[in-house]
Amino acid sequence: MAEKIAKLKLWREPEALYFVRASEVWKRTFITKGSERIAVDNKIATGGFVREDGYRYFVDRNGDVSREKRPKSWELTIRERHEFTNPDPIYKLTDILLGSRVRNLRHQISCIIATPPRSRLVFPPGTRLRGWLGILFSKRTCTHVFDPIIADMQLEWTEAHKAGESSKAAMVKVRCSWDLLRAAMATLPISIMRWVWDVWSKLSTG
Amino acid sequence: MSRNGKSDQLPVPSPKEVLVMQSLIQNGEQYGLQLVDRSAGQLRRGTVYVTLERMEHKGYITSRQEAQLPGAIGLPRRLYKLTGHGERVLLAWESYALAVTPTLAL
Repeated sequence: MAEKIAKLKLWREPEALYFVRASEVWKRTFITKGSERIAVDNKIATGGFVREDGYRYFVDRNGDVSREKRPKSWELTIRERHEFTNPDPIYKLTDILLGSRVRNLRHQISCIIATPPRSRLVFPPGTRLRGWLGILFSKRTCTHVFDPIIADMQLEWTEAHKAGESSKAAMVKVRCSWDLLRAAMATLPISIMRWVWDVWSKLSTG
Repeated sequence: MSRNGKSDQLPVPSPKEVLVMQSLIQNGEQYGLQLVDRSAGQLRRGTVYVTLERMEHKGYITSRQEAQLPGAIGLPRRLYKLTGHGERVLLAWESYALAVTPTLAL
């Protein structure tokens, strides 16, 4: 729970960062010079309070200085405490069977299990491959031959994922990669001939 | 040669091209995968788009990208339609094939 220390009523600019150094309030703004981003710190107020150890000081949303207790490394977070006091039935069973000595281990296991998986950005399949094909083949070949194959793959892959069939989605990727390879092999002679023709016509006119 | 510079000779479409044109004339505008499904195994998923690209280059068919719905994932698919030239080529080829087949049968 945050505790208000000094009522300053500062106006907070949305693009600036505010922090408390000693008993003073500082503002950090950023200046862009070419490709560099330079931080500029300015003292904007003096709080008139004495800092105590074990607390975290910050400028709250009202522009006042507040503080909250800094958690120690061995202290549990609210969620961990809840999980510790309301364990799953399986951990209750281990407690009965093995005694309370495994409590610490059990807590560690419960923390690992309770950690949500990291969300990750997934691109539809073929996005990277499309980039490579764009280097190797002409724009027309890409838009008329490879893009429809990739579009079909992405459609089937999305439908498989929506239906919860991840194995089918994997199969779609494999099959469509094979289709792309076949299309590339069928297109390659024509692409080479077109390239030779372009070079020949440029050389003959130049 | 005709007045517009094109050859007067009958263009000779390949069996796959004939199949595609027949499917397009029967079912109208279609996606590549629909053509593959309706060909009963005669067209392959990997090479159908190569055939379609060549046909478009020859002027037998025309294609357009489908309108993508908001929130749709991935590339838009391509729809294929027979052109007037393609229709004439198919009709000429079919009538030629009908005329030649009895001769070949002999």
